[in-house]
Amino acid sequence: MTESHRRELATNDDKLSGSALRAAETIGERSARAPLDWFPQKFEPGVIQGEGAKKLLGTPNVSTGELLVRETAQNSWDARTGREPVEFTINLRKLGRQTCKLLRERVFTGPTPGTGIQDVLQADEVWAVEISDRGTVGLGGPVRNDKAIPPNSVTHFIDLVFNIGATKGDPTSAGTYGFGKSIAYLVSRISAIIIWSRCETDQGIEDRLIASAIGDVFELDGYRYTGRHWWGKTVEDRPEPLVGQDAHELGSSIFAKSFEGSELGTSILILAPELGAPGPEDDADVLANAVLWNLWPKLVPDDTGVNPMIVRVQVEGADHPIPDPATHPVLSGHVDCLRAVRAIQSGKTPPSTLFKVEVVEIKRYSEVLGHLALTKYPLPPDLPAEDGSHSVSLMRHGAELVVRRIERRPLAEPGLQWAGVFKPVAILDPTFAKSEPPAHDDWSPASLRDKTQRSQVKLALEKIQQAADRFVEPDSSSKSRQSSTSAAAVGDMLAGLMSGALGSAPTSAKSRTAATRGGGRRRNKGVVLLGEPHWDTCETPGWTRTYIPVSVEGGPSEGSFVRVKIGIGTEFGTERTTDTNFVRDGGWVGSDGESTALIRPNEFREYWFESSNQVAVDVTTEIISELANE
Amino acid sequence: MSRLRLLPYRSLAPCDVSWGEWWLERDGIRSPLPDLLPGWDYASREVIGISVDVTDSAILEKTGLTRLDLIEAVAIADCPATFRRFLARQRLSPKQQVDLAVELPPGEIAQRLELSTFLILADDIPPVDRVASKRGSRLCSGPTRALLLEGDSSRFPTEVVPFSGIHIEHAPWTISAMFDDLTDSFMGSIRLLVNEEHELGRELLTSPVSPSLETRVKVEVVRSLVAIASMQDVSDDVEFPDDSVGAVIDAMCRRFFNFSIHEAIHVYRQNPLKFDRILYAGVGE
Repeated sequence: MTESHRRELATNDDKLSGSALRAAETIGERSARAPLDWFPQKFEPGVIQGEGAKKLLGTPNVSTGELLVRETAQNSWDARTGREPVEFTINLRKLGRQTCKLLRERVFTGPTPGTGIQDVLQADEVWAVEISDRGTVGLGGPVRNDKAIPPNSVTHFIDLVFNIGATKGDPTSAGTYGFGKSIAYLVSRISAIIIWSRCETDQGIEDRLIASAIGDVFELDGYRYTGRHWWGKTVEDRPEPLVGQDAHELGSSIFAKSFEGSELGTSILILAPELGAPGPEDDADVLANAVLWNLWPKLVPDDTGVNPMIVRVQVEGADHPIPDPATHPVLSGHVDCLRAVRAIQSGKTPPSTLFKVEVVEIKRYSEVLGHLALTKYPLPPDLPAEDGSHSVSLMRHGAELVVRRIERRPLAEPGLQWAGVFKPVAILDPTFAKSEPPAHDDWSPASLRDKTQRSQVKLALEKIQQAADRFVEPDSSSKSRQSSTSAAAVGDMLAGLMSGALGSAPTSAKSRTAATRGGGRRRNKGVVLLGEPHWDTCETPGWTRTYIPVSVEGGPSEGSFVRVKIGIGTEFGTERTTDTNFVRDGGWVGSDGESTALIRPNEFREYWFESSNQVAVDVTTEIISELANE
Repeated sequence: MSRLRLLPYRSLAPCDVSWGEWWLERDGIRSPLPDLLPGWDYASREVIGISVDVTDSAILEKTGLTRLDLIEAVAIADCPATFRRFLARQRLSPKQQVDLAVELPPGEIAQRLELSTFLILADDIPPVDRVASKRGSRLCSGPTRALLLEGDSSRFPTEVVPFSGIHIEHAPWTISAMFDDLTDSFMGSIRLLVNEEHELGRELLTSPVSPSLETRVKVEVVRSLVAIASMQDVSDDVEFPDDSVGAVIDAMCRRFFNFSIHEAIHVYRQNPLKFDRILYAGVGE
C-alpha cells in the first residue's frame, strides 16, 4: 500500500474515529440528531417484490463489474449539465469501525429483517464502492412518487429511488434510472446502498440523502413486507430523503467525496461489494478493465482535445491506473475507427492514422443509417489472433458508450488484427436507443413495434456484419457469393411449393410473344419482295452498280406505292445518313427520279444504286399507300 | 417492310448452307435447345451449339473463293442485357460437318440471348472483283433465334453457398428469411441456401435428385416457412398481397394441408408432432 493510500485511509477513518477535531465535532453533532426512519414496504396490490426488482436487468451479456460501470456511467453521462466535463469516479474504500457504527445506528435503523445489513455492519471494517459523478444535475425533482408531477419537472430522484423501470424522457439517453439502479443492489452482497445527491430546486441547491436495500420477503407484526427498504424521513407514512444541511452533514460523514461550493451531482455508496475478485486491488483491476473496455470512447478526446468524461478508478481515494485506449495494443484500432466516424459524421475529414481506416455508409435503400469504420493493424507478437481484436464496437451517436461488440473472424493474415466502430446517424439515435434491452447491451430490432424502425436496426446489424466479413476476408467472401454451382434445378424442383407465385424461371408466355412478334400480318395488305440482285460495272473504279428486282405480293389489284431506301449497312444496323462517298442512290429504272413507284401484284420493277466495294448496303422497302387506286 | 443487305462481294443465301438445329449440352448429352433454357441461373455454366454442313463445290462456286479453308463458321450468342458476346468459330474442311460449341460462363449473361450464325472469310486475301477479300467478310448469314433465360415463372429462390463462408452451422441447407412483415415480397425475402460443402447439399445439387431427397427437402422447406411465419402475428382474416411471403406460405398450406396459414401456424404451435404428420402426409405424397 502506498503512502498516499495510507494517508487517505487515515483521513477517511479519522472523520469518524475522533482523532481529528472536525470529525469529532461532526460525530458529536450527528449524535445529537435523530436517526433515519426505517420504512419497509408492505405488500399492496401491484407492488414488485424485492427480488423481482433485482432481476429487472434480465440476463445481461456482460459481467457484474462491467454492468456496474456501464449502467452508472451511462446514468452519469445522461445527467451531464453540459457546462463542464462529467467527472465519474469509482472509489473502492474501506469503512472503519466508527463509520460502521454510524451506519448501524444512524442510517440502517430498525431490525431490517431479511437483509443481513446488521450482521455486516457489526464488523470492524466493511468494504464499499463509492461511485460519484460531478458536472451532473443531481437527482432533482419531487421526492415523492405519489403526487402529481409539476409540468416540466424532472423526476430524477423518484425514478432512481422509488420507480422501478421508469424510462427517461429523453429518447437518446442511454441509461434508464429505474433499471440502472438495480445493478447497484446486485453488486452489494447485502443489496444495500446509500444515495447522496445535490441538485437545484426552486428553493436553491438542496442536498438529499436516502438509503435503500432489497432483501427477502418477511413478515412483521402480522403484515407481509416485499423486502424493499428505505431509510430517510417518514412523512405522511411515506419515505422521503433527509434534505438540506442535515443531509449534507450526514453525507459528509459517510462519503469520502463531498460536494464543493455549488457543485451538483450524485454519490452512491454500495456496501459490501462483490465483484468476483479476491481483494480490493483485484476489484480495482476488474473495474479499471471494465472502464477500459466499456467506456473507452469516453476516454478518447474530441477534436478540441477535451475528454468527454473524466473517469477515475480509485482504491482508498488513490487513483488506480486505467490504460490509455489510444495506445492500447488491442483497443487502439477501435479508437482510430471512432475518430474517423466522429469526423465523417460531423462533416470533417478523418484524421490521418498510421494504419488505413475505411469508412463505409450503412444504408437502407438510399437512407444512410450510420457509418462503419474498419481498420487493420498489427497484432502484438505475444498475442494469439483469437485474443486480438476481431470485432465491431456498436455505440450510439450521442452517448458513445459501447452497446456491444459484434465478433467476426480474426484476419487470416498473420500478425494483423482488425477493428471496427459503428455509430448511427444522429437522427436515428432514438430508434437504436429504443431497441436496447434494459441492460443496454444489445440492439434488438424485434423489440421495436414500428416496422420501419425495426427494418432500420435489423438491416444495420446485418450490413455491419456483411461489411465486416468482406473487410476481413474479401477473397473468400466474394468467392462465397459467387458459387460456381447452379441452384436453378433445385429451384425448379421446388417451384411447385410456390403455388404459381411469380419467380425467375423463363416464361412461356413471353416466349410465345417473342415467337409470334411480327407475324400478325394483315391478309389484305401487300408485301414487297426483293429479288436476286444483279450487278453492272460502274464508271467509278472500285464501285459497283446494283439492280434489285422489286415486286409486290398481294394488296389491291390496282397496285401499291412502294418506296425504297438505301443505306450503308453496319454491324448494328443501317446508318441514318447516307455518305455519297460510299453510296449513290439511283432510283427506279425508267423513272425520272421519283421516290415511289406504283407496283401491281406480280409486276416487277427495278431499283438501282451504286456503291463502293468497301461497304455493305441495306435496301429497305415499304408500301406507303394502297389507297391511290382503290 | 422488307429489308435486304447487299454485300459488296459475292455471298451465299442461307439455303446454300445446311445449318443444323441449335443444341444444349449438359453432362455430355446433347438435346435440342428449347426456347426457354431450363434450370438456368446466374451460377450456371452452359454449352450450346450448332452444326453446319457444307457442300464445298457449291460454296466455292458462289463465293468465288478458291479454297474451303478460307471460310470460317461462326456461332454467336449476344446478350443484350450484359452487352456480352460469346462465340465459337471453326474453319471449314471439305466434306466435313462443323460443330460450333459456344460456352456460356456463369455470371455473365442474363434475361435472353440472341443467337446467330455466319460463314466469314478467315483471312485477308488479294482482292479479286466481287470476291470477298477482307478477313471477317460475311459470306452467309444463318438462321437467328432467341433463347430466353429468365422470366417470371415460379422458381423457388435458391442459392448455393459454402456455409463456412457465411459463418453459419454446417447444415445441408437452410432457409434464409429477411423480411419485416409477411406482406413483403416472397422473392425478395426468402432464400433456400444449399451448402455445397455438405455431402447432402451436394447430392441435392446433382441431377437427378432422388425422390426421397426431394421429398425431404420439400418437407423441411415447408416446415421452415411455417416456423418462420409462426413468429409473426397472423390473424385468421388477414389478406396478403399477391406474391408476398404470407400469400405464398398461405397458398402452400392450403395446397398441402388444406389449411390456411393461420390454421397451420396454430397446429404448428399447439401440436408440433401432429403438424409433422400432416406435413409428411401432405408434402410427401
